[in-house]
Amino acid sequence: MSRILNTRLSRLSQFGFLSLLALFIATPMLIIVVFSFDANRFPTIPWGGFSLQWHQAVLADSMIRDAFVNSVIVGLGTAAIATVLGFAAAYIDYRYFFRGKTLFGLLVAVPPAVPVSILSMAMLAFLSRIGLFGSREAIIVCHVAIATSFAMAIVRLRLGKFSRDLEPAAWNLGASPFATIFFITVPFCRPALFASFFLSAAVSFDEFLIAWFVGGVNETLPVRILNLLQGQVNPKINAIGTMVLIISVALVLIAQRFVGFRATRATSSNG
Amino acid sequence: MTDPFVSLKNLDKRFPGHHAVKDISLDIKGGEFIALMGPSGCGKSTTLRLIAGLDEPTGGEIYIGGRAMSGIPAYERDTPMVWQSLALFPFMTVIENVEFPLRMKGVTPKVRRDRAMEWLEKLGLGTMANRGIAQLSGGQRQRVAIARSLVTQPSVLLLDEPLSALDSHLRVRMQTELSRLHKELGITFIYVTHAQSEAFALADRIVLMSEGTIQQTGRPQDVYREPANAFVADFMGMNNIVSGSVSRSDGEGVVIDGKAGQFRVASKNAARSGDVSFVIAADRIQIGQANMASANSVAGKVIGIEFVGSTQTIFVEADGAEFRVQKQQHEIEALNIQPGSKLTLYWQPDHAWLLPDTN
Amino acid sequence: MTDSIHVDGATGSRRAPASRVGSHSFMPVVLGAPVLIWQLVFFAAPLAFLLVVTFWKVASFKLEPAFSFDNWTKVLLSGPYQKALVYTAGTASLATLLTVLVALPAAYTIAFRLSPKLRNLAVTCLIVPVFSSYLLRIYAWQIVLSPEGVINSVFKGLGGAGLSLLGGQLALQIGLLTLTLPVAILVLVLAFSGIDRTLIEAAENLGCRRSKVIVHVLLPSIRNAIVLAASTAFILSFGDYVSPLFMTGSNPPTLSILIVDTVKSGSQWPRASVIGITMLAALILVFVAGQLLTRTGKGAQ
Repeated sequence: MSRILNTRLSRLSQFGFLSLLALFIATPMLIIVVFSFDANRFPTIPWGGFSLQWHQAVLADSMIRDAFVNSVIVGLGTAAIATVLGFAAAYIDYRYFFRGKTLFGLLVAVPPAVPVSILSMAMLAFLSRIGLFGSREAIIVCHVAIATSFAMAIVRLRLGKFSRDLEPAAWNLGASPFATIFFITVPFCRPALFASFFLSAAVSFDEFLIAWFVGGVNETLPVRILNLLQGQVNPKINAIGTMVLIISVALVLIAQRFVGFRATRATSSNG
Repeated sequence: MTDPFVSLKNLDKRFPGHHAVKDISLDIKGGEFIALMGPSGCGKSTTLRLIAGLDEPTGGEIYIGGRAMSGIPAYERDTPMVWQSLALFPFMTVIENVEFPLRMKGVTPKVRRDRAMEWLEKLGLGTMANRGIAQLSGGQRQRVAIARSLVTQPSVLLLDEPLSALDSHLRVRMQTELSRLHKELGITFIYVTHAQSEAFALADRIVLMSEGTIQQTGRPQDVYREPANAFVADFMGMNNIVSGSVSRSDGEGVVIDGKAGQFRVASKNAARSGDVSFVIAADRIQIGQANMASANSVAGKVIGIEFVGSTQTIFVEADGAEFRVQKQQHEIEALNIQPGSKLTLYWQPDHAWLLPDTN
Repeated sequence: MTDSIHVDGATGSRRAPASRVGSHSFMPVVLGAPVLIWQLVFFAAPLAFLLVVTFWKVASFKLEPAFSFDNWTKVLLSGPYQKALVYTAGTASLATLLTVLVALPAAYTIAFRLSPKLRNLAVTCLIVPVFSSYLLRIYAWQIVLSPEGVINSVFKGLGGAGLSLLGGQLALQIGLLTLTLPVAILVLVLAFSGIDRTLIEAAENLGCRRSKVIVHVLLPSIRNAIVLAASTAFILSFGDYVSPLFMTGSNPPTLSILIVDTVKSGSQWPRASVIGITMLAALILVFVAGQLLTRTGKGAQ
């Protein structure tokens, strides 16, 4: 009897722990959304009543609108280029052996692991030397260098399921190597390419340090938020935050849908 | 068409650390159904891939329809292949798969749809055209793969162990189907398999390979009854190989002194002297007392019996040599043979086959 | 680099290396050159340039090529730098420890105690924060923890005194865990999910109690994932800029804060570069140490 009780208690504490953790992860997002509708200037308890004024103020703010446009352009540009480069990198990793392959893989995979504080400084220093500083393009090229890593990982995972016979079969049926990639390999990777696109867009949409450093006067939305945060308390922040949250969560969820990522448990064959 | 349609001249293929095909030459007639056989790793699939242009030979030349193939990439060869894995494109429907080679050749959508449909109907898949590959059974997928390979009306079809993924029932049905297609189309089929039954059921001629070289080429029954060497004898079935030296030779054959006695071999190639080996098939050995004087016979003891379905293999030891005898189960039961039983084996001199090349 | 792409024939096809006929060597070059050049120019070159700049000089607010170790000695011997290094490394170590301590039981519960549906939901809920709005989430914690914020309002409402929650290790660690926990838990959930259930059943059949199964079967078999989760947590918290900025108001400053301040406020690029390069070196050291740890683990098994 006491053994059953023990098990119950242990399970209960495990679920309790998990709930607390969920609260810890969810709280920040909820706070932003909830207080964006608060009529008070300063976000605190008690709530000052429901209001849409901050959202309206955000929509009326031309700097925020410009920043949003910048973010969209940078995000789309990054997503498109990173997806193409990520596919190429993943395909090369899948298909070829050559000297320096490990180095090639590292060069694509490692950037997200380098702290952005260092990376942004290095990129700013280098880009201003080669005269590519202070433009949306500058932000895009830097974001691509980071996002390609994720795109490659997603596409490579998909290529793991690509039968080694399919490409030779296509050549055998009259498709040139380029036609094969276009008609066989790319369509096979389509879900992963969509996932890469949306995830790369999310990565770019969320990044602010590099964008702040190399973008010059071209503020993206998170940079605008950063600048607002460093100023006085501004109730508009929660409203922009809500919009940004919705967009990036949507991007990630869409990406995840395409990958169909699941933590499937390895089970015994008879279980 | 009596000229060779597909011709391999001193074909050679080395991979890093592996010599897969060693200087082989072979002529295949137009309209012939030829089977490349051999154990796994013998080079048969590599040979097929070389013909298809999927691998580049490191030596020799391939001619198809009189044209040298070196430098012509796979996608310009028109040598479609049916793959062991089938290699159907999983994200396309049945008809899109069959249309694919036509699409690559730039055939207009309307025409290629009609032609693909024609082939699907020919293979009994008319109602499946818009299904996904995942919705088909194994046999149906097999037919899609065949339709996809034939839709361009090639003059040669390559098949790489196409039936090995099917269960035995389906395999026999597909063999019949392939046979019918071959007769109907009159084109060259080059069929790679390790299964003797498939090669025998289908091929006009078989090419037996081992370790990258051709061991023997010929009609299935000839290769079976008249193996060129010990490897072929061993691979082609349950054969006993007996060694000895020729003691005398006359117009009807040779007499060989072996460990287990004196044997007369009367095969048509029996005009040799010195050390030789001959082959006697396990199913051609009789049990009991010979009723004709010319027969070879040995006395021995049963050391084991192996059951394989309705046939059984008896292992008989006779004067230090071991003979394998294949019999139906009811025959064994009628003779009441047990391990330890003493018995006499005999066979006709003209059922034995002197191996032409004996080392 | 480009010409080092030379094709030996394609990968592990079971039967034979794939053809060269179907893929002349210009194919990998056409595909590989753009991505290779992109990463070399926009990732490797900036970092290499950063290293070069550490030897340059600043004269009348302008960078000048030089070869001097001045910046290195100035930075490495300066008190603020050394303090920041110790503080940053200590903070990151604490964050790593906390992350692993929280993530392990959480990942265990997610992998073994949740229904498949709930488990997938949990994974989604962990992936989303990895890729969205870290900056905003830290700002939200600021709202919660600030002197007039949510928690203090509740406390005061209950008649308590106001707590000073912002500006110390507590706030900083909350911020860092916001960053590290989702990734670490994901890594561990994946590792736990990869363990064959028969292994656990076998151990339980042999009479192992659950707690013993965890210690003797589960933890050893995900050892590499634990090292990966820990080194990821360390890398993230060591380089983070946002949490120190908003949770402690840059006081005391971390190395990342020093870098950004130096770059944004002055022309002391070379010194900022030295800080950046030493940070990178430290992170590589940690990563290599982690790899060595997993290697020896394999050897011992």
